[in-house]
Amino acid sequence: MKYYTIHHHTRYRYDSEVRESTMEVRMQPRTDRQQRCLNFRLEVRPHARVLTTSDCMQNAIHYFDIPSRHAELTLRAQTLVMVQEPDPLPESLEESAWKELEVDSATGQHWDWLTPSAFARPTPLLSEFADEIGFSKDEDPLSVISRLNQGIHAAIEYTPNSTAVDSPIDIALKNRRGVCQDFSHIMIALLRKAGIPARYISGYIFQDSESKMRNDISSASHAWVEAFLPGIGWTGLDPTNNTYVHDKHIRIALGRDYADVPPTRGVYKGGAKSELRVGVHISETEDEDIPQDLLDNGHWTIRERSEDGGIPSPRPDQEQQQQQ
Amino acid sequence: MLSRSADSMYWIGRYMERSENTIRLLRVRMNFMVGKAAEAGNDRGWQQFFSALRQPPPVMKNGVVDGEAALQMAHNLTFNADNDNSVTGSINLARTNARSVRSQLSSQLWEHLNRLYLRLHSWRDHQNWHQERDSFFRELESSVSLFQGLALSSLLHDEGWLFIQIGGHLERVISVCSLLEAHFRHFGIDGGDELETLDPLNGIGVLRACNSFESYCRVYDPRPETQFVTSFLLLNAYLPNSARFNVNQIADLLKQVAGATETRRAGDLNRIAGKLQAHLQYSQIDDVIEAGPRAFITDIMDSCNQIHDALYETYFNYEIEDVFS
Amino acid sequence: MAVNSVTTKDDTVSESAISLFSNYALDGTIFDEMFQGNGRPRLPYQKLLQSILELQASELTQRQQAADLTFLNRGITFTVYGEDSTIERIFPYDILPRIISETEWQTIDRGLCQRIHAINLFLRDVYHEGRILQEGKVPFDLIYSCRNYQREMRGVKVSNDVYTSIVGSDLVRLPSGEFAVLEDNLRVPSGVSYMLANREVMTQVFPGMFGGYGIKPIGHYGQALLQQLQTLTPKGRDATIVLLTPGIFNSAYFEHTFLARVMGIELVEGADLLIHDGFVYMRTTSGLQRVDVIYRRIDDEFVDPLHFHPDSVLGVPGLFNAYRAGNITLANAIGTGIADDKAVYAFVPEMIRYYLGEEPILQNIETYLCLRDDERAYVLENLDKLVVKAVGESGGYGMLIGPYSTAKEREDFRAQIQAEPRNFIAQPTLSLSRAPCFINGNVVSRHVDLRPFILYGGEQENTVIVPGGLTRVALREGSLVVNSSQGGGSKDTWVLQDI
Repeated sequence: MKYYTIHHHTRYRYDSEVRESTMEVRMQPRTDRQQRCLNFRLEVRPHARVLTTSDCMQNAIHYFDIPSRHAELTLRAQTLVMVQEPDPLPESLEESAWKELEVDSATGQHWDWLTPSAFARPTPLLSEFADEIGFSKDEDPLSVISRLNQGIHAAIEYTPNSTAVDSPIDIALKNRRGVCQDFSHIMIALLRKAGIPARYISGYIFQDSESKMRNDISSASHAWVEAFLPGIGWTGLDPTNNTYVHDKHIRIALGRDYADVPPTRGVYKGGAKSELRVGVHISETEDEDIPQDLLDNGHWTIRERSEDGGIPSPRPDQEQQQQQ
Repeated sequence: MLSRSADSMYWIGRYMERSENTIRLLRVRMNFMVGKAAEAGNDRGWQQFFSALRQPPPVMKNGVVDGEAALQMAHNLTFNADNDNSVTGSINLARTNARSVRSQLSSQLWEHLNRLYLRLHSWRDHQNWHQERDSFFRELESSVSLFQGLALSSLLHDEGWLFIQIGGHLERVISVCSLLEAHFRHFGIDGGDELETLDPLNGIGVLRACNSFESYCRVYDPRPETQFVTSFLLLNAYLPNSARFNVNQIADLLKQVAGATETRRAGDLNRIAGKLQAHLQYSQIDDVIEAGPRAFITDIMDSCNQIHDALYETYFNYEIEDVFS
Repeated sequence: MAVNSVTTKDDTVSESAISLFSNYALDGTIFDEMFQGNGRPRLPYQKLLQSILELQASELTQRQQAADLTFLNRGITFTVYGEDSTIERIFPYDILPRIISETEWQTIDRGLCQRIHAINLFLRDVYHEGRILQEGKVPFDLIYSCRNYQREMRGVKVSNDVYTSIVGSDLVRLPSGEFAVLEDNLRVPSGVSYMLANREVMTQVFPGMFGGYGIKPIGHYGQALLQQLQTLTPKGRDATIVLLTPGIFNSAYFEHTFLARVMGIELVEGADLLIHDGFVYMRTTSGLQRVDVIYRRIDDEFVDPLHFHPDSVLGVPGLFNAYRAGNITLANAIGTGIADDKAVYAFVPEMIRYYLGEEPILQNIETYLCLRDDERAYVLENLDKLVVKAVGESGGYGMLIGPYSTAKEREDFRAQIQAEPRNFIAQPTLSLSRAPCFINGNVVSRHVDLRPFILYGGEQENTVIVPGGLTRVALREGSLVVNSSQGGGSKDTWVLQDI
């Protein structure tokens, strides 16, 4: 069992003032079988009243609005979460597990996790890729999944900023480079094709200095996959790192793919260019000792906004924190 | 009342008044042309006419205004829907605004405007427009006047009605100022003392274009002198077309709106209107001469623009943060 | 056969009057609303026939013109955007009323109350426990794959469990004389303003006609709608209710202004509303005013750019969270479109049996689901006989009428069906009933349907249906398409008392 304190800072800067911002935030870790969110606090500047709700997947949502003009919006989320090591997995499953999956899918309970979604959908490139890495149902589902995890990890190179937040999987498949979001979407699409329910997990990964050397991923914000296996239940797989999920993975939200669970989603009025910076710091103790300005070390993106016509209309600020 | 509805009401008032002004100017100009077509004054008449309606100057041919082209421009000014200042353009826009507040208008008022719109459109391709234009303009003019009458008699005199009236009066101040401005510009008048030297015939045209000739004759000698015409149209307290009369109305209506909406944000708006009202109330023709007639008029128009902007900041498009803070 | 011997009560009818009917076709395989098979008028129409025969054709023509002019002057029009000019058109209107007897109406009324109640129980079930899906009475993949299924509505409590406050169901009359339901419009049904306007204009151009018929009034629709909307919030009559329109360029804009006016509520656009701290406000000249209920006339995917269509400028960002928090009521609720999917339609009789334990009072039209292999095979085999419809379309679009189709059209549909079987259903080509219409100086018969407007209040007994509805007419001879976008018109609909 491990405890983590997470600081997640987000800052939007606009090159001219915007107003009537509305934002929805998914940053609070889930509380379920494997983890407990013990404390979560979200501060918003300019000041706004933060309200909470949850979506249809029971992910916690914080939302707020800022009516006044502002050129900068910052979010400071602080979390204390407890994570348990998942139960050990067997070596393999019976071949009959495939049959059980079929029976399961006929009940409709996993419909969302078996049907193509916005980012996780089959394409001709995906089929070629499946053939290339030898993805087939020739063994039991657990072995197949494990092999797939390796296969994707080996075939695609983890490269920060190689794709955008809304890139379809074909870009990563073509360039053989991608970020965790692409690894996950590719895996989900393949699992669903094989009839294994699969879902997207948005979260954090804790890396001590040793694992930072070993794993080459750059950010604490992370995404991975959960697959449903008969007799076992939802099993976490991290194709970016070619591992099963352990007690260093902190789950925030689950969805069909990234589109369901972006950390922030917002709309504002005013035609401004926005710059986003994100910094995340995770410590294993409950120690409050964190660096003063995380944003200096964060990654950033800029997006042009064009205004055609004189009337400022609400525009989605889809400039998101990509999960690297 | 919904801010957007109030905005639409205000523009109904403005566009209806604008169309009325354009129709009147067209009618006066066309009639005048019939009698005086060949005379030199005709050129200046056309130029003033287009200038007063904020239109580009007429095409010249052999050093004089091309009559055919000017007539065609007049036709466009009546029927070209793409021109917001044309009769059709104004009526279309008034109707579009009326559609968006249809639920706040009386059926009589809406149907009247709608019929006016249909009538105007059925005339567009009329072959004998030039022959019948006088009766056509008279019909239009009375139809637009009837709109004002119906607004008065069939609408609830609440906010919506107040905004229609404010729009109408504001447009009227701007129209009379534009007309005088055009007049002065074409006579090259900048200094106030030049006001005494002007062609009386054009004074009649200006007064007619404001529907004020008959009233003028009851107050002054029927041979119009420009300084009296100017004084009459800017400063007379009882003439429904004078700047002062309409500004008085605006200031009064704005107070009523502030009362009806119980708003605390109306301070600036009412102050601007009140200042303009006092300025016109206590000014005399000597002050106009001293300031220079064009500068005097420019000041009035600037104040009108400020009132327009302040209406938006106060009622139509205020900052949300003001409300929640 | 033509009606060559029109018979009335006293048999004293002039030659010229009878010639009015010389082109009137009767056909044993099609139900005629006015005449029985033997050419005698049906009871509810006797008086009308008498009145028609007493009038000259020229007088009917005059009144038709007067009616058209009234529509035009009142601005009861839709805008056609042409290349160099925009034209306002009236919806074609026929001056002869369609008449329904009280007995017929009672069946329709009871049948629709039953049907809409069951549909609401279905919607509640699907977005909560999903019993009907688990028990396999309705296939779950049919629902989950529906374009209008709104995942985010799962577990959301809807005010009074009323998902569809406002419904317009399309009925047709079969050769047997029985009414059957062709489709339900459960999202943003339109047309009710034309029902009301038709009656107003009719009273104006035919003042004499109304005496002595005992026509049930419909003028209270606006009040009834307002009351239904008020019951959706605990504030009741003190609630602030608004009608949300996409704006002046929407083809149903006339209806939006009409309904806002008869209810005395504000007609708002998305930009007039904003969300603050989870509540909805509208911007008024007096400041911001809280809104409790939105009767929205924009589709689900446009109501909130934050949640649905991110490019939508019609909606209100953040509205869905306010809705989910219970701070605003939307009528109709989000996600009702699953039940008017034309494939789900086929299961409505099953819903009635499942939830109410009753047999449906109004029948469905037999429907073949192309997603089922055997039914698809039958459909593909019989494309020239059937009517094929895309499940999510309305307004007469995405439709193949087999007997009137070209080989090319059939092949197009065959390819489309094979590519996306879930998206298509087929039904037998119906012989819609025909009613008398006055066209070009003659009384002729044209196909009609009927769209009654149902105001559902949570129980069958709290449901209000104003007697009648909008009768739509396929004005082109032989045409079966009644949609206004495709050459359809409408007529006043009378439900008579005590016949």
